[in-house]
Amino acid sequence: MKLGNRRRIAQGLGLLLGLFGFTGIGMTHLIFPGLHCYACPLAITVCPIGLIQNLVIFGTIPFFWLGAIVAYGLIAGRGFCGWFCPFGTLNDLLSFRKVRIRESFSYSKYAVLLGTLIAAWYFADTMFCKLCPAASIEASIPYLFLGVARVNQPFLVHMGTLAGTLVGMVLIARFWCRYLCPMGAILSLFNRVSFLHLRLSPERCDGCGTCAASCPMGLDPHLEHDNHNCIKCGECVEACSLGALSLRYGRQGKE
Amino acid sequence: MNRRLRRTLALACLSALAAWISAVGQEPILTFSLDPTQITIPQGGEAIVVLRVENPTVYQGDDIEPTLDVEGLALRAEPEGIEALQPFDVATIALRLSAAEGVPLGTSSHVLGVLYSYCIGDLCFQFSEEVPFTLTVEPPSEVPVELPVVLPVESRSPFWYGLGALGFGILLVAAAVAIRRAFSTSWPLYAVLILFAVGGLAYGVALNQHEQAQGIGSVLCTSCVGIEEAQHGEPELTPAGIAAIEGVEREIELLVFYAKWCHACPFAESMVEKIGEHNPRITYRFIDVEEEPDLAERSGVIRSGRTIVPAILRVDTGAIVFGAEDLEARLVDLLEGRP
Repeated sequence: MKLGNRRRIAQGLGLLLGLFGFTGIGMTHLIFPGLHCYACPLAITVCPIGLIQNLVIFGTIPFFWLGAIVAYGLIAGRGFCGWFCPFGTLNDLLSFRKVRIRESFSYSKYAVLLGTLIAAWYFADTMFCKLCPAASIEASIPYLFLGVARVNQPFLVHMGTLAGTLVGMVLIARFWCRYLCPMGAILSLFNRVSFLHLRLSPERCDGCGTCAASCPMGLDPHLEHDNHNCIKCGECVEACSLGALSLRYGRQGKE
Repeated sequence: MNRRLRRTLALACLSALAAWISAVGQEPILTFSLDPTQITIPQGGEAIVVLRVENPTVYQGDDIEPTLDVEGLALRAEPEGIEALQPFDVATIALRLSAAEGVPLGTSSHVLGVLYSYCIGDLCFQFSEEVPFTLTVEPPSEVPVELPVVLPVESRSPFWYGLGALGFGILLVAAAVAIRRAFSTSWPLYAVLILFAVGGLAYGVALNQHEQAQGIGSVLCTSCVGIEEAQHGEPELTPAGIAAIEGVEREIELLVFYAKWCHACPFAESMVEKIGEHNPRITYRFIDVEEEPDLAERSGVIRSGRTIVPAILRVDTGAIVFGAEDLEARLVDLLEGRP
């Protein structure tokens, strides 16, 4: 099976896990390995960013959260952004302009993460959730139809951030994943140790740059295959006719 | 620096980090101490002890109230309790213990109970702490006992706590850098990370943090995710609203679903009470969703495992109003049968 098809199946499974509440199973103890609002009426997993804000507010040392995050980081790192996250899938659907990434701007997602945690502590409230575009789609809009939410100021703020993010996604492929996603910031810390990784065979690479043109994150995979922004989607692997790039699963640095 | 030394330093950093984390308590947030802890009291007489309450956290402790359950011994606190203890503050409560004349002589060990709570957003937590003390009952004495002056609340600078947090951050970064340099991407790094992941998950489950995660996910705090603005304070009915409520001629029963942790619920409850005062044909019942989950689910207050409160159900039509924003107008619509 082609890598792209495998990825679409995995993204479908991510969406299915995100919306598995249609079975009536209810909320489980699982933490979702991506950005997915737990307030979604069909969610059965807990959003890691929503949870960590609550844990900061409660003053809890998040052993369970840290364990899950390190496990996810080890399993795939940012591979979850490329292969599993429903909001990443939405980014994919709107990836029309694969422009080059501004590396310095990509650190802004760490600022978003830090700001999220500081705001949770300072305001004792889940401030990021009030702005999160994933929550706009997965909570605000469904609850409007369920008669719980109404068109009020918080709803309009949500719609505003969603609209801004969608415009960003259309203008810049994977805009949210590149520059703003706090969960992407966390997972990117594990990119160089995650078992799912991109491998370059330099002897096969002629430096044509085809991989760079195909990368939705705007990276140069043949120059920076272990970049912290790489979502391991495998677009470059499929684009490279020389087979210089491959997705591997195992300990990095072993080869 | 050779490789072995770097690894030793990395492990030392990790151990220090683990020790630091272990040393920090999770909950409860307040600490208590008695002065003195060895109390001497004459039969039929009184003794004074001071309860010191310290809040080393950034959260406000609420309704701190000492209790004592020892036969023949009565407790009177001055003040009776502390309504709110601000972050980093310290307060004292003078406790006057009165012994009955028939209390047996001798020394025994007891605990002073202290109830308190703290709230964050829509979630409130109540704790019952125990402070141990030794009680020695002596023969009756004629010496009068004076209540000491209650010390004022002390405010502490958060500077030291900030410094501690900074130290923790530096330790964390140092550990990360040391691990990275010492192990590169070799197998010990993976061993450490796998151990961290498994250990974190196991210890988290042992602390019931997985239940906490599920609980957080199960609750739909409408104001938290930006579905509505939180409502606080005492609601006031408008003249137009009162006229509409008084105009309702049918017998209507309302079920008001609430949860203890919900900060917007008292507003909704109070609003319904006021409506009931203006029109006795409108009756109501308050339902704790945690005590009657089946009724809540049948009524549509729990959906897909998500508890939504406050929610007000009109029993005869099954119509529900969620949340507390713009509540009067929406309740008038509910009572008048408008969608």
